[in-house]
Amino acid sequence: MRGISLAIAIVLSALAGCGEVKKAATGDGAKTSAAPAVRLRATGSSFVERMMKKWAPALESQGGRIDYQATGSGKGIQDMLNGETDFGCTDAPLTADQLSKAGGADKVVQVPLVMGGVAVVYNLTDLKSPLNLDGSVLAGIYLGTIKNWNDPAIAAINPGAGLPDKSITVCQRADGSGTSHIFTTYLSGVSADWKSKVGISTQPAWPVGQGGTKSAGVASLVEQTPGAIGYVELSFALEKKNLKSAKLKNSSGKFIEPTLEAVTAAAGALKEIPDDLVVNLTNLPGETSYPVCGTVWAVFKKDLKKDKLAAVVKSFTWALSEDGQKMAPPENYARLPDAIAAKAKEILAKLPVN
Amino acid sequence: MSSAAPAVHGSATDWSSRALRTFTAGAACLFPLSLVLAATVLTVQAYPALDKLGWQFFISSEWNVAQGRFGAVPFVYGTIITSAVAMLVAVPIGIGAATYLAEIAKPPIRLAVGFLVELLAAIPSVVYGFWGIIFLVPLLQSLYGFLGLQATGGRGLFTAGLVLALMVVPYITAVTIDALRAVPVAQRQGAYALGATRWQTIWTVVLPNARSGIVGGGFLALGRALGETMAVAMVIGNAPKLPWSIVEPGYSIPSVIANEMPGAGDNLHRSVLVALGLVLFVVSVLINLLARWLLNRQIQPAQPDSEPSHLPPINSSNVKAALAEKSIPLPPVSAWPARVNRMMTTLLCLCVVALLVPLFHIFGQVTSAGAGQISLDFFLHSANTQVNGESRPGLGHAIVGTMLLVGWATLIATPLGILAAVYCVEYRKSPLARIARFCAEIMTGVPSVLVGLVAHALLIQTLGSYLAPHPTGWAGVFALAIMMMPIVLRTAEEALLTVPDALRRASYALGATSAQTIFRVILPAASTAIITGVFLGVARITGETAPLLFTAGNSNYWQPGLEDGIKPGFFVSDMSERMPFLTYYIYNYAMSDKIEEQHLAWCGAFVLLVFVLLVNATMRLIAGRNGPSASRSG
Repeated sequence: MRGISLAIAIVLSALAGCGEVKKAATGDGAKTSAAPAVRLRATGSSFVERMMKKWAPALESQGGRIDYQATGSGKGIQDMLNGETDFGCTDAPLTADQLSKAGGADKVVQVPLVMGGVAVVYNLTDLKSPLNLDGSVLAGIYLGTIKNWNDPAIAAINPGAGLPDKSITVCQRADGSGTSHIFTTYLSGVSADWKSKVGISTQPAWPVGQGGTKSAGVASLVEQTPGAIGYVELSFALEKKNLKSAKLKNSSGKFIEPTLEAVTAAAGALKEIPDDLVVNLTNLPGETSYPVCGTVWAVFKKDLKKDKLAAVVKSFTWALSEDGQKMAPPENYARLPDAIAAKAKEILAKLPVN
Repeated sequence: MSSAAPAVHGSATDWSSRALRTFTAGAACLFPLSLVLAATVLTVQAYPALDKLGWQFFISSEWNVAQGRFGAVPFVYGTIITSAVAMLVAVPIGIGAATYLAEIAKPPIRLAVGFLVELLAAIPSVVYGFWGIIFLVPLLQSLYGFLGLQATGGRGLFTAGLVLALMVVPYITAVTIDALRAVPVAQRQGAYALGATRWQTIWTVVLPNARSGIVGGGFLALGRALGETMAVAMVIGNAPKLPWSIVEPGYSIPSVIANEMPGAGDNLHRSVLVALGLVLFVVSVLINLLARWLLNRQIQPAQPDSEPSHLPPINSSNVKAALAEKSIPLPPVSAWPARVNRMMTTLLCLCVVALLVPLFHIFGQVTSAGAGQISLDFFLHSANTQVNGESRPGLGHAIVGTMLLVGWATLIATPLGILAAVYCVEYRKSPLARIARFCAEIMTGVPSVLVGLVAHALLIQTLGSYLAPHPTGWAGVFALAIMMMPIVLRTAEEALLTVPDALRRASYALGATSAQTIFRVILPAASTAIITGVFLGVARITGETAPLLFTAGNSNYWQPGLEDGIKPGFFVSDMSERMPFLTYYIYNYAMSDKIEEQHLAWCGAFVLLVFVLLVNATMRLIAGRNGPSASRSG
C-alpha cells in the first residue's frame, strides 16, 4: 500500500515537473488573447496539414484552437457530416450525395482556403533531365496499357532522354483522397478512355498499381521503389529534393513544371467564378499554367454551436485575409486568387454570427 | 490438477455469499454478452450490403467504390494467400525450433531461448510493420531484381506473408513445446530401449504423439495470421487485385478495413467493409474453436520436468553406456541413422537461429535508430509544440495518452476479469461458467480491428447522441477493456485453479463464508499469478493500434488538463476528448516521407519496445517458467 502511494506520488510529481519544463520550453509566458480559445476539432486533407500547423498560433489568437488531424479528405468529410468534428478540410468539394446527407446545400458552408496542385513524381535516378508527360500517356500508365518506361509513347515526348527498360510501378492513394479526386478530374479531362473506364472519384477503381496512405505514404512509396511513378500534393514535391516531378503538358501544348508560379498563373486564367465557388482548376488555359491544380476546402455545418461557429468563421476569415494568405507561399502553397478569396469572405460574412 | 476435485462451497445462505455469487455471475455474464454484442453489431451493419449485393458479393472481384460494385474475392484471396505463406514458413521453423528446445537443448538454454521466442510474440504489430518497411521491403526488392522478376517495389503478398510468419511463429513454438513435453516419458524410454537415435525417437515417437497439440498450435497461429492488420497494411501493397504471382501487391480484409473505413460514409461502402469484417469474424472464430478443441484434447499446461531428478537422464548415449557396463553386446550401430541424427540436430538448431536472428535484428534496428534520436524534447513536447515559432515536435502527449488509455482499461478489465474467474472456478459446474470460459476463448481470437469497429459502431455512432458523437478516450478504453478482459479471465482462472483445495477446505472448516474464503485466502494465494496475467494483458493492449484508430481518434495537442501544469482530475476529465496514443504516430510516421517524423516514429517504437520488454521480463521473474506468457495465452 505504502509502496503504491509512493509510486503514485513520484509519478505525479514527475508529471508536474514536466508541466513546468514544458511551459518554459513552449514560451507560454503571457496569454495573448483575453478569452480562452475555443477548441475546434478537425480532420481531413493531408495537403493542408502543414498550412494549418503554420497558421495555428495566429488562429489561436483569433479565438480558435484548431486540433487538426490529417486523415485524408474522405474521412474529413465523413467526420464533419457525422458530427465527429467541427469542420473538415477536403481537396474535393462535397458531392450531391454528401450534401443531401447534410440536409441540403444550404446547411453546409464550403470555403476554399489555399490553392495547390498535384505533382506527378517518379523515381528514375539515371534520367538527366526532367520527364515530360502528357495526358494520354499518363492515362495510359495508370490504365496499365503503358507498362514500361521505354514505351514508344513516352519516348515520343521525351526525345533523346534515354529511358531505361524498366517496368513502371504505379503508385496511388489507398485511402479516400481529395488529391485522387483532383488527379482523376485531370485525367478524365484529357483522356476519354480514362473517363469511361474509371472516371472521377475520391476512391477510384484503379486498374493497376499499389496504394499508400496519404500523400506522405505515396511519396515514400515512390522514393523507395526505382521505376515508380505516383501523384502527390504539390508541397510534397517541392519540399523533397530527391523526388523528381514530371513536366505536364498543359492545354496550350507546353510542358510545365509544377511550381507555385505555374499554379498561380493557372488561377489567374479563371474567367468565371460561380457562386458556390466550386471550380474545376484542371486544364486551365494559359501558356504558363500548370494543368493539375486544385484548392483545399474547409467545410462545416451551419448549425454548429454558437461559440464554435463564431470561432470557425473568425478563423477562416483571417485565413482568407492578406495576413493569412501571405503565409502560404513560404510553405509551398499558392495563394487564392483575390476574386475567389473575396467571394469566400462574403460567404462567411453572411453567416449569423455576432 | 485440482480441477478434478469437486468444488467446495461454504454455507451459501449468508448475504455476503449470495452477493458474491451475484456479482461474480454478473461479471461472467459480460463475456457472452460482449461476444453476442459484437456478432450482432457486425451482422446488423453488414446486412444492407449483403441484402443489396446478394451472393454475387462473394464471387465478384470488382472493387469500384464510385459505382457501387463490390466483390469480396480479392480480399479473401489476399488474406488466404498471406496466411498460407505465413503458415508454410512458420510451421516448419516453429516446430523445428520447438523440437530443439524441448528435446535437445539443455534446460538453461531452453529457458533463455524460450523467453526470447516469447518476446517475438510480445512485439507490437506496428513495430513489425515498421521493420518490414525499412528492412524487408528493400531486401525483397533487390532479391526480386536479382531473380529477374517484375519490379514491384518489394511490397506484396509474399512480403506480408513473411512478416506474418515472424509474428505467428512464437505461438506455434510455445504450444509445440508444451505438446512435446506432455508426451509420456515411457514412450521415449521405449524408443531408446529399442536402440533408436534421438532423432529417430523424435520423429517416430514424440512428434506423432504430440500431433493434435501441434496441429492445434498451427490453427491458433493461423487464426492470428488471418486477423493481423497493421503490419500487413504497411507491406502488402494495398491493391485490390488477384495477382497470380505472390510477389505482386494485393490486399487483405483487415487492411482494407483499416484503410478505407475512415473515409467511407454511412452507406453501401461502409456496409460492404463491415460485411468483409463479418466474414473475417466468422472464419477467425471457427478456426479458433478448432484450435482450442484440438489443444484441449491433448495438452495440459507445461509440466515441470516429469523425470525424477535423482535419476540420470535417459538418452541414447546413457543407454549405450549402461549396456556396455553390463557387458551386454550392443547391436551394431549403423552409420546412417547416426549421421541423420547429427544432421537433423543441426537443422533444428538452425531453426532456432532462424527465429532469433530477426528478433535481434528488430531490437537492434529499433534501438539504434530510436535510442540515438531520443531526447528530453521527445517526452516533453507534443506534436504541435512550437518553440519560438519553429516546430519542435515530440510525442509526450501520445505517451501520456497511451498511459491513460491502458491505465483505465486495466482498471476496468482487471476486477471484472478476476470476478468472472472467481465465478468460473468456484461454481465451475454451472453452465454460465462454461459459457463464459468458452466465450473468453473465442474473444481472444477475434481480430482487434473488428473490436474497434464494434466499439465505434456502439459508442460513437449509435450511442453518440447521448454520450459524445466524436472519438473519445472512453471509447478507446472500452475497446481495450474488451480485449483485455478475456486475457485476465483465462490467466486468473488458471491461477485460481493452482490454489490447493486444502486451503479452501481449511478456511471453510474454520467457519469462513465463501466471500471471506475467496478474498482472504484464495485470491492472495493466487495473487502472483494473477498479477502476471494482468501484466500480460497490459503488454498486449499497449501495442494495439487498430481498435484505437476507430475509437480514440487522435490529437496533436497535450490533453486539456495538462496544458498549463497539471489540473487535478485530468485523468478523468480529459478522457471525454480525443486521446492521442503512441502507436498512432508510429503507424503514420513510419510511412511518412519527412525525416523528422520518421525519427519520432523510431523513438516511439523504441519506447514501446522497452516497455513491452520490461513487462515481459518482470512477468518471467515473478512467475517463473510456468506463468502465463504472451504466446501461450493466445
